[in-house]
Amino acid sequence: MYIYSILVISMFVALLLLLLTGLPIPFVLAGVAMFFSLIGYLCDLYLGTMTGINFTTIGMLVNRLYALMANWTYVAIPMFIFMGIMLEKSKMAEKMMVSVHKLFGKIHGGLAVTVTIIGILLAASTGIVGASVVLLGIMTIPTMIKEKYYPPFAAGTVCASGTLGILIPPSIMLVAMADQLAISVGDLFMGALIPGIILGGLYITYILIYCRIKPEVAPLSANIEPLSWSVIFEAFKSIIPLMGLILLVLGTIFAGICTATEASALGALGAIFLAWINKKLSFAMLKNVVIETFSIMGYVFAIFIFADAFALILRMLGGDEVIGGFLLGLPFGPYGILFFIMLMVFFLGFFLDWMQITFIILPILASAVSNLSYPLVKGYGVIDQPVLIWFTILVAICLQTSFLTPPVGFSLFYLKGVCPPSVSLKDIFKGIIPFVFIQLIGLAIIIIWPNLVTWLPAVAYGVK
Amino acid sequence: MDANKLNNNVILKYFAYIDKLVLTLGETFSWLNFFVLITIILQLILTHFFGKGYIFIDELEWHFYAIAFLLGLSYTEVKDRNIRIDVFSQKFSTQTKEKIDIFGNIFLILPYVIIVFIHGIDFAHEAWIIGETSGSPMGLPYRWFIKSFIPIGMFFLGISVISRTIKSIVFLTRNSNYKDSHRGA
Repeated sequence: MYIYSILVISMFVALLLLLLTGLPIPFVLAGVAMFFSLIGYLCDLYLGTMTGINFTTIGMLVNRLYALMANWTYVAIPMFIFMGIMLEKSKMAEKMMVSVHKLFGKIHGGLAVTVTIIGILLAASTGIVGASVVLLGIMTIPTMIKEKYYPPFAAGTVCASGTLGILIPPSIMLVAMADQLAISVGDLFMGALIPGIILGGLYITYILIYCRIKPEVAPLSANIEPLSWSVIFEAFKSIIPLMGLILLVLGTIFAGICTATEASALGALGAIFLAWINKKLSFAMLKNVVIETFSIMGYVFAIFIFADAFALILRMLGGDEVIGGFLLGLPFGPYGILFFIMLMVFFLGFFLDWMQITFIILPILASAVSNLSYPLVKGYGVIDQPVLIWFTILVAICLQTSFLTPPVGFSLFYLKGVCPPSVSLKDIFKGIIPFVFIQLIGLAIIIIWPNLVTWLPAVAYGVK
Repeated sequence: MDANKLNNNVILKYFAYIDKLVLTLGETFSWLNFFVLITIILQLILTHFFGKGYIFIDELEWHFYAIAFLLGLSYTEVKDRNIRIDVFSQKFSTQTKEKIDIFGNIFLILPYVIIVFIHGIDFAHEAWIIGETSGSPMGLPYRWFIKSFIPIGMFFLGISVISRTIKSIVFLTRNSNYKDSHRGA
């Protein structure tokens, strides 16, 4: 067992070190996988291990790749990407921003609340951390700076709201996680909805309280018209199309009318329709969206494919037994082990994005967790694997927290890339800290009350 | 030596064609995702309004999707859009970055591409020999067709990686005004 442990640990160390050289992530995954399959082969020859790796068995890589190709669930991913980009190019978000801002214009921090709401709605459709943070940053940071918002506060709000999108369904991260753990995408979407809304609610509560205590961080706009019925009407009119689209996608899944894949195509079609209503649809624009979807799909699937190869070699080197055995051997009890896993995911999230976590680590962690009993988690007799659904949501929230945590969180750097030079990285770090604490509170809430995750799927299955 | 002269360089010109080919191919095949969208909607209409779905349409959906992501690999590589963690590497000089890239291309990605290419040909060839069809009675007939996109995808990824490596080497040996121009095609 000793050699296997060394192999597994050195494989991770090699991965982390090579990632820091700035080489493309998929290349590093592929290279480490190939190098360690060679090492495994040599260990079999000279050190008496039994990894079974040789040139023939490595052909399994092709079968794994084919399994990804023939995976009908993953067809949803390009569809959701298409939907997100189509919505972005239809410029609906800009319209929403103006009219919703008017609605909250009389409150300190109203603009920040607007940004959070739009961030949640928009990011829900894209689900790629970088993409949603960048989009939201480009769209809202200049306005907030113009309105003399305190830069750290503005940056923190944008970063946290954009990152929340990976949790709020329909998110492609949840699609991939569900498939890797063989649980239903619909169950996971439903499980994520209430935690996502709770986190969004906590963000808004924090923004309002902070701005009440320190109104100078979020000055009121000079020329805001008084709140009237027409303002309220306009705000709702601008928000309803997008809200309706998301409800259509989630509703058809939750009601069991459509699979996640079918619903994703409906969402994409709906986004085309909204762009048409907004008079932005043209052949050139459609072509643009199609090419951009293809490009994003390219880099997302590059990571999927090569992380899958990495996971295969890790498994052949005994990664499941080494990591699983280590976790289950910890003398902490189920909740202690859960805490340890969360800590692990949190630190890994500094270096690995959700795609690698989902393919490489999540299946191992989940199989360890399913050996433990968590009596608080109720399946109401109708949910398959309630513990796994709850656990996956916890991992998702934990990862999201990790992406926000200075000094290495992914989201922070994506945001820095699109901020005007007047907003420094230090501002972003400073502004994000309260949100990291909110995330931890959210995580604790979901650990203490797992029903917040399992209740909605149970209701959907007809439990009163 | 100025950029113009370098562009006339035979090798570079040759690889510029390869890049162009991959990009054109990618832009053409990017429409596959749109076809996926249409086929899913078509199937939805057929099952919900006419009470009759077709298995071959289901299979077409993932065929389109699979071809799209396999060809997407090379497109993303030529466009240099693969995600990198550049927190540390930002501070490296262009020279160092190029050297790291050459190392990564040759020792990290090419071994995978070659191995999966070889095994992928076997995989598709086997499906061809046994005349493998879809497991379902109404499914698509030719499994070798979709399976052969594994070696095809690897081939295009391979030549894109080689093209980039050659350009990096040319950059390092000439080391002149030929600045970052080959990055991000």
